Amino acid sequence: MEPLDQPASAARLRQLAAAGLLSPPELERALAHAGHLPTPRAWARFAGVALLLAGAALCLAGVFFFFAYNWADLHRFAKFALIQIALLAAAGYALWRGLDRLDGQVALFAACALVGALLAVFGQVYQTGADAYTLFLFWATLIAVPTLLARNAPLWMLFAVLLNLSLYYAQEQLIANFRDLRPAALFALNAGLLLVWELVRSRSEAWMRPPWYGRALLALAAWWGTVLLLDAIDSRWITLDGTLPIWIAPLVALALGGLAAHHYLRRAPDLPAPSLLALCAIVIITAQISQLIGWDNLFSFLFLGVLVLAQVAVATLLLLRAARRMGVPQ
Amino acid sequence: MITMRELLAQLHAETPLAPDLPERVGQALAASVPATTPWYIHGLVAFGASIAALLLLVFTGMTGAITSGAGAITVGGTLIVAAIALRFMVRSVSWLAQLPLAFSMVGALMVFGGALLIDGSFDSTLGLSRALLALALVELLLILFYPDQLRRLLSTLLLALIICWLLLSNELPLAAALFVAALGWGVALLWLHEPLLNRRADILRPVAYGLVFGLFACLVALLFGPPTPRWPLSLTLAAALAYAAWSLLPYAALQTRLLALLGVLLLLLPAWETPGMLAAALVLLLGFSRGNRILVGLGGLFLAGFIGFFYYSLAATLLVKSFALVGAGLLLLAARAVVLRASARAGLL
Repeated sequence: MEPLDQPASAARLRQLAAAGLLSPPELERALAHAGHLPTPRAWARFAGVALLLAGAALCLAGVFFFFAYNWADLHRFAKFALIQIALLAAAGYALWRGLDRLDGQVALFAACALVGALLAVFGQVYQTGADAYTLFLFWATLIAVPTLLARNAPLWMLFAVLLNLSLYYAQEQLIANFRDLRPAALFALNAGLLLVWELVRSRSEAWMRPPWYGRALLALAAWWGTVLLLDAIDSRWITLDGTLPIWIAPLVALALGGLAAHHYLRRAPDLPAPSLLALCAIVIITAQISQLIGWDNLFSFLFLGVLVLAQVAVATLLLLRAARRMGVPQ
Repeated sequence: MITMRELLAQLHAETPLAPDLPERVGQALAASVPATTPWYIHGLVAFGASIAALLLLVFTGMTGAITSGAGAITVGGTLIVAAIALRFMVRSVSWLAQLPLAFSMVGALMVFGGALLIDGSFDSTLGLSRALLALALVELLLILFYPDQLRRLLSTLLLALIICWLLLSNELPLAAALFVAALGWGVALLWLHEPLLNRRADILRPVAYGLVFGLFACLVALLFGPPTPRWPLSLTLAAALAYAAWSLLPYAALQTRLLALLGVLLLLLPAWETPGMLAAALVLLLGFSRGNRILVGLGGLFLAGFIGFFYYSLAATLLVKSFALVGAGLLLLAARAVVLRASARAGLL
């Protein structure tokens, strides 16, 4: 391609300015013409979105604080009336405005969040003695239908967080004396959610296009996968529970991590994802080798320091090559 | 996105450019491709280098080869010089950046430790001040001479934190607050005049990013450090935010500009004791105005954090806090309605 037929990216324009070919005012005009600086229309939209999100977040936080205070002078029916009016108002506003508008989507998210407040007030008033995991599980169940229908990515994230919290507390409250299965269970949950997300996303749904939601699920899965493997390394891959083949889960996590890296490098290129997986791999390899050589030798520190540097060098080399191949705007 | 050829034609139609400019631009673009590293790979490199530096530091300490403060300073200084030389040697090899980076980190920490121990006054304020000054000098030298954007960013961040710590440890809280306010103004002026950064982009761009990180790090340090007067900081940061908002709306109607100033004044009320909110709003505003998603993300993240801290630390019951939150939320939603109406009237929506 002719150099002048390349896209006028911000990096290229800055490169020209650094080479003295564009003066600072010319650079500013060039950035504006190429669409890298916001227009008055973009400013107006930004102000509208920022004020809407901040306002809704503060109102929602206020409602949760109000019911967390557990105002004794307020009759229980008044509490229920207040929360249900707020919930119905948010849901009604969402229906009125429609889910193709941002304020409608924000109102629907608020309504789904208020379902949690309603459940909490119910538990508070009737002292149901429900465990934390049931609260989060019921909450997730009640918002499952709107989550499936609304095409609202933040709502999916709320749903995922509630399932994570429910599973996290379930182990503590249901099978507290058993071996800690949380890393395996939470890894499986988040890997499953990520798989579903990526499968649906591959159908080019516009609302799923921003990459941050998939990355958030990948980060959760990678975190619990790494914890799972560090657990196995710490126990020297020995099955402590006799019959349970504990080592299978870490190996599955390792294999899925490799598949995910391949997917994000080749099939659905997204460089931050393999970068995160590379970081996890470095932590796991270093932990395994440090466990093998031990920490009682002075030279272990030197060896591990050099090992970390070597791994980062290899990872950076591979990632930068991938970046060039993907044409990532660096 | 339009092509370079179309862009040059548009610029030429506005103001005639030098006739040979397209040719020179073509040559410059053909000669080299802008090659920088994405921020998350920088993060990976910084993480790896920090862990390696700690391990190498422990190794050096455990060998027992360094027995005095002067010895540590000498070895640390040598390591820094070696790191600078090594980085020059592998300047075009991005994937080797973490090796000299780790050396420079070990060197800086050894200089700090050496200066702290030089006369055995480990726990005195004088000893700590001397060590912090030595570290500040090292970081300043690294900004000037270490040819790497990541290291320059980290050094700027550390330099800001060191100066703040130095002032706080010498019981100069007002000076610390004013220093952080100056950082805020520095951030505002640098990013408002971003095109000027390209004159020495290799140094000034990482320094500009480092100042943003340094500003937030110092504000967090002030929140959790010894008591400092917050109002001078809040007032100065509000002035910086007002200046930025005014500068960014040069062609807007006077009513819009005054509305922006009113917004800053309103934000000053809750931010009186939590100045971080003003700094975060400033970075968010500057980031959006420059089309810079990193700054927008940082500003948004810290704004949410500082608002959370404000309500958490408010000496009031949950009930009062809830009314304050809902009130503030409704105010913002009302402000949105005003903005949308004004924008629609101006034909912007």
